[in-house]
Amino acid sequence: MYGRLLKLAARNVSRKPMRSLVTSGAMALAAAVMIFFGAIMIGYIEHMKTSALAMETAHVQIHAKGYRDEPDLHTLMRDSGKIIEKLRESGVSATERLYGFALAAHDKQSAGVMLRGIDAEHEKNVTLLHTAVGQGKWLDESDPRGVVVGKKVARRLGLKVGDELIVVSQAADGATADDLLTVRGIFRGVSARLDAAGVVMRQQAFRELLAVHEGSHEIAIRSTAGFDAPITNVVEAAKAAAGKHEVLGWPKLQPALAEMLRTSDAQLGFMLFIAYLAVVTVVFNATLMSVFERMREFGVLKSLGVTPLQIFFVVVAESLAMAVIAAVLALGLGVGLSMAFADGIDLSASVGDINFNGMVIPPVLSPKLGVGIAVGPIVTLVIMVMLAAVYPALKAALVRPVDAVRGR
Amino acid sequence: MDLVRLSWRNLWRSKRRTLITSLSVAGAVWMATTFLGIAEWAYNDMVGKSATMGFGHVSVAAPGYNDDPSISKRIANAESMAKAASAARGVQAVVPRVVGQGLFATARKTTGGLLLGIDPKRDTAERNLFVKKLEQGTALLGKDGKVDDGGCIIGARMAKTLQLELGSKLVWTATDVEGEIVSEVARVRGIFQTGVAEVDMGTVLLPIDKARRVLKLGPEAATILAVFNHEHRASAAVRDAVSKAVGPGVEVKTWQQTQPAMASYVQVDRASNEIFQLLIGLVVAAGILNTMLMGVLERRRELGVLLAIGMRPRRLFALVILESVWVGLLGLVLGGLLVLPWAYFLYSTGIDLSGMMTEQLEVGGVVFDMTLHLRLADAHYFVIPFAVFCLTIGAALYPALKAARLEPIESLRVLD
Repeated sequence: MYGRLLKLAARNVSRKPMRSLVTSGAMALAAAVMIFFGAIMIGYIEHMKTSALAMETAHVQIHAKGYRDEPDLHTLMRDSGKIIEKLRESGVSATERLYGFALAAHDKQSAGVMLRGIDAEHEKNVTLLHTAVGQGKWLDESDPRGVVVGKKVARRLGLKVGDELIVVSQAADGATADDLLTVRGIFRGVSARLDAAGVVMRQQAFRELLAVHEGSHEIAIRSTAGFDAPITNVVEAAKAAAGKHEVLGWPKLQPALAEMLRTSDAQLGFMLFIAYLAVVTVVFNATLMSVFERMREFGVLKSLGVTPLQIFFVVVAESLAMAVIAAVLALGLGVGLSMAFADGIDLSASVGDINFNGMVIPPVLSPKLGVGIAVGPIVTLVIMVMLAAVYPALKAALVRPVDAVRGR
Repeated sequence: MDLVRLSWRNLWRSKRRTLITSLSVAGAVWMATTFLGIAEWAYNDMVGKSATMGFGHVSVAAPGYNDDPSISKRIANAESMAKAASAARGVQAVVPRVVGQGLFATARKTTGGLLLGIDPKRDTAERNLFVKKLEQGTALLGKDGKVDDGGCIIGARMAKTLQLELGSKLVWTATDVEGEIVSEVARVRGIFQTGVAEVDMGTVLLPIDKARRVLKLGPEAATILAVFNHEHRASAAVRDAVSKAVGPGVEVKTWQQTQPAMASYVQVDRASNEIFQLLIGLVVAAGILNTMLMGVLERRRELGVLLAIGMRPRRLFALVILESVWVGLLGLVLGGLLVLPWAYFLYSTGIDLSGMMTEQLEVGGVVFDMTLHLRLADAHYFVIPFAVFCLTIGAALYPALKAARLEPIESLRVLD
């Protein structure tokens, strides 16, 4: 019986081809765009995550207690060497960093900068900072006084690759520290912090300049499995090695990023809701109209013994049939669009880098498809469309045969 | 004309359908106003915050300063230039500022950052985000209204890191115009908190006259003139006016040029918002198309009669389009009535979403306001109704065409 009803529903849909097409088209358009929007948004947030983690944060960091609240040259982890040894034994990549403020001067211009002393060889195993050099070269053993500077530092001080840079600061022992450094490279946009004030140098040069002979301020750790890997085992390893120091995973280090990932579903859901509100109005309207047009037919069917439940079923099935057509179209269009632009839509010709919570992201939109991103809008569409058909279907199911046949 | 009256009458023959269609149109107005208005408010708020952090909506600087900022590239006659600029059309205020880099130290610690020379009399809360966000102390003005020459204002994070309180001494060091390193002591008179870590860590405000003297800039000099106008969209026009008023020899730039990160965000967000609005519009149009088409097909017989008694297809086409014009106008009126109280509520009270977010959101170096408000640019008052109206007419094209192409004989055969 229900097989025949389905056939009836399918025929009813094709009786008004234009109307069915427009209704289905509206549904498909909304769902396809939602798939594409979702893919772009997730792609963007993922991109933000990888670039924030890959450039600076890594997966987990260890600091001496209190350092993060009050970064001070003296708040060191004196046992950092041992911690790093233990970490490497447990199979994760780790590197240490030192930070200190200085006044940097070049050619009558000066700026406050943040010196960052890194272990250039091991930093490569933990972050991709060495790939972010826009001009010139990365740090090298052969050039102990060579530094790579943030792009705004370079602009502010008028620095070019090969220029000399004077830095003045106060060393850990209280003496005035100064040194002449050479600009080996200039970073492209990395993060607000690094761009505006970063001067990255070899650890040894940092230690000599600021008289910090042992220990470090920060240990950055990365799972060898890549940036998308879960961090629980890294946190475990870090906790085992860190002793009394503070161990924090990236969601704590980049809380805004974690929040964005957490709320991206809600944001997408909200947009989906608004778009589908419009779709539901269209479907509701179309279904109601087609039901009113055919009241007489329903009356006849009922007089012939078709039950209200079966009529209800037919009307809902009609909407469902249109939703299924729309779903197939939307899936094809949405996934197709996302794949066609998989290499990224590069807006950098007309738009500059975007700065979100200190993360600097180039304006390249790369859609990233996931099962949830593709299926979510489709399933929601089918459910909403069926809900929109309930009232018209009830109207049809509950019609009194006598009234309907008389045309009232 | 007859056609106009006829179309108006036709509208009321199927009251429910007319109502549903005009409500769809009204819904589109409501949706576009809400989304575009909320975004507009956010852009204006963020650009305004960004502008009050230093460069203004429009900034005037010495040639080359924007590419390679240095205090030696200064405007020597900044005060008279400021006077000239404030007379330009659309300018609300002009504030001369000295922007440089410095090293800030106490006996215990040293940090670096931005040195901002401000005129406390002109840099009011409205023109200066740091003054607006003061948490402790005052804005470098004594009780007698005199500028506190030996004072400074610092960010909360710097205060914490350097362990400074109101009244503490801070040593600031910078290079003067001749490239000599100079040092001065200032007492902390105010502590601000903007919420952006880098800014709260590395910004120190000094009285501009002090900065002029110590850095040997000259008594009337400034590195930039920050020009303010009432909204971010008007900045290009204001730039041109200011440029004319101050004459050649300086660079006049808009916030888009001096704050490119903010400009990028606004551009991308605006584009994606408009695409989304277009999508909603198309879906709404599909609904209107359906109802209009229904209306035509239902009246096939009647329209066939009209054709049979000599009505020209072109006039029939016009009739259906006129009906959609009425529906569009009705929808706009309904939409206006619907959106007015809602827009006023958003404008005056807003919706506070801060409870839903545990972290603040920072875009382009300013904190995103988690209370949604609404603001419409002048262009919106025209663009939104016009776009929605066009959408309605556009949706009626196919049904109108269908009506014009009816075959009288076949239409008359249709059974009711």
